[in-house]
Amino acid sequence: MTLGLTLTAVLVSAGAVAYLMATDPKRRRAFDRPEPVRGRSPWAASLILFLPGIVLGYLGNWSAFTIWFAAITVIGWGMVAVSPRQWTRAGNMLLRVNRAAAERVSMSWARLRAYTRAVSALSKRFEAAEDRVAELERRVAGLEQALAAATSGDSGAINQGTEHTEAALVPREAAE
Amino acid sequence: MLDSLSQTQVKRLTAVHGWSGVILGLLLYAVVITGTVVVFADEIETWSLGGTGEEHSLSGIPGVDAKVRDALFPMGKGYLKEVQIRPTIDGHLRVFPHVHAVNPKTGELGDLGRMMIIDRETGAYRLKEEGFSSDNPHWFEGSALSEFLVDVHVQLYMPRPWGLIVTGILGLLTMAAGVTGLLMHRHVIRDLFVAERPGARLVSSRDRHVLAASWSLPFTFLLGFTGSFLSFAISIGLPMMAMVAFGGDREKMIETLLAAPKQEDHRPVPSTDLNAVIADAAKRAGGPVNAMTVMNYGRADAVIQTSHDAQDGEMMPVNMVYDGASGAFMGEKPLIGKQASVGGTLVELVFPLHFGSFAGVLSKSVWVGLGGAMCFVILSGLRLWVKRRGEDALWRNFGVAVVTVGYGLPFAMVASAHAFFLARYAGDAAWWTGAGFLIGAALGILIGLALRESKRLGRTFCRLLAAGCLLLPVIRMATGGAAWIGSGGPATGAVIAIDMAFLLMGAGLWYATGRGNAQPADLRPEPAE
Repeated sequence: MTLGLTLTAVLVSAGAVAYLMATDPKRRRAFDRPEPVRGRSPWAASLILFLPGIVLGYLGNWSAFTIWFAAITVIGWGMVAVSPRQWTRAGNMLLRVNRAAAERVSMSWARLRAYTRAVSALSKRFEAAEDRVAELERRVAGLEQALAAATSGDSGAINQGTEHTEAALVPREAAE
Repeated sequence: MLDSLSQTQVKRLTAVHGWSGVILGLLLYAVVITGTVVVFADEIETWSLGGTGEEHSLSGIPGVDAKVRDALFPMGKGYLKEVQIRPTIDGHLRVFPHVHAVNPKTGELGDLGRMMIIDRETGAYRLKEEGFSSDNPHWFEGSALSEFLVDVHVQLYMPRPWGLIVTGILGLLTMAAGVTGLLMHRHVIRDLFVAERPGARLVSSRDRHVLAASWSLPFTFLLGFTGSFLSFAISIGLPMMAMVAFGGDREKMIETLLAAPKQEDHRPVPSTDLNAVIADAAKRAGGPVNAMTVMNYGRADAVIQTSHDAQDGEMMPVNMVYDGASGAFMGEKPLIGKQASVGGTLVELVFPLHFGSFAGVLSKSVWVGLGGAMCFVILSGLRLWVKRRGEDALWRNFGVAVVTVGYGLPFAMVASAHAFFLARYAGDAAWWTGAGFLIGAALGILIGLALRESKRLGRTFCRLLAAGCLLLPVIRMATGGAAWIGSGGPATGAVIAIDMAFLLMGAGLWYATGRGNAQPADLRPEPAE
């Protein structure tokens, strides 16, 4: 409970700090950024900054309130201490990493699809192989029968055996 | 902050702010950096013990009652006046029946009794010795490292009460620096979002110091106040109260302030079942029993106090009181006094606010961040002072001292941890932990004297610190600590997390000082702007 509340409160306030930081006129002047930012509303952002604290106080969760207050002073300092140039550089790096990761994911996805297709084709060939083996065994049995009849010297049997063998040699699809 | 201040007043404030920082800043840095580390004192204790024991509460130890009965019978010398029962960091049972008596060696009031550590499974005695706890540091050898760091933080490893008085003054200094800094700086709110301006100029150093100081001001003040309160309460406040209100009888004062109320009755009565008390207290407090104290064990006026962590969303830990003879629940007890009061509550609040331990690892992590910010404020302030006076050779040397202490202290702390592990393997960890710190500090001073150039000094210290951090987990495991996996393990989460933190710190420091990366600590002088 406290963990979830604290993290949510810190995230909301950190967002407000980020907005106030990015639109702060003095910061923008100091780092040669164009100013002023149109539609800037520092009071609304300040309200959002402190709102989680008010909510936590109202809920009576003083543990979460204290952690939120302490965390926002540390995180706020950490965010503001990074100059706009460093933020831009970090953002660009993140974008590059993101793009490279997206490319990798897309390549890996294409490879995965190729592998899946190959595996599926192989599995179909295995299934067909079973039928082919059964067919061949049937043919061998017919030939063995014919051979046995020929050995016994019974021409009728030979004829029958030959017919049987010939019948056996006709592909199943054609017979059907 | 205040536009109404005249130039002269601002100059005076700057002098007070700057000179107090220059004179006591490095000592304050020592207190703050050790305080930042000892926020995780419990975890450091588990880590230093190489712990695989997961259970750190009485609720998880089987048959506490039978073990305590065996341990306390027969027992003379009045030790049953107060029996402390708590788990050791590796999950065994520590029973310490004792009295408060003046230690002839120190002249101070101390705990005299019989220390027993009982195996949680077999009930065999792992330790059974008698004496003053202050004369037997080996009773707490497992916690020697965290105890040492706490001692440096609390009283700078100086004898009582002088160390406490010094740290109390440093707490006052923190508050004074916060107030004077706030008054000096006229545009705190307007500059709250201005990062360090580029160019490594004097104004950049000023930005860096002011920004960190402004953001951390509320908690710098709070931590300074609570720290100062604790130091002065122990060193001056309580002895004074004992003199004024209890005729110098400190034991009576402690009893009045801390003990649970019950009419004195010396009749021998068998103690209630402690297992039942532990189970009931855990249910009522909504959490396991961390420790318990039995006053007048085996008597009709016996009282049991159980202590628990703060409940979810609360700041204060919970204490329950039971009748030691019948086992009846007597109610919740405030830390100080017999009934809840505004004063008592305010004093109770000092502890969680200073230690940051009220919500486990979450609050402790944030408190480490606060400590880190305070360290940054102190060092950046000292660097700013030196940069303003760069023409003077004396201040340049002071700049070298700032770098030496800035890096040398963490290096000495890492050295003390190395010494602790090696000594645990060889013996007498308590002595060698302090010696390791001093050896590390002496090595740091020698390096500072030899190099005397901030840039090279910073790089050398970073490399040494990195090597020390990277080696610590290896040394820990090599000297019998639990491994991450396999034989001797698995280690607990806290152990692995601290190992990982050291490895990351070491790798980060090594990388930061690598070729082509930013160089640390350049204190070359620059004329004032």
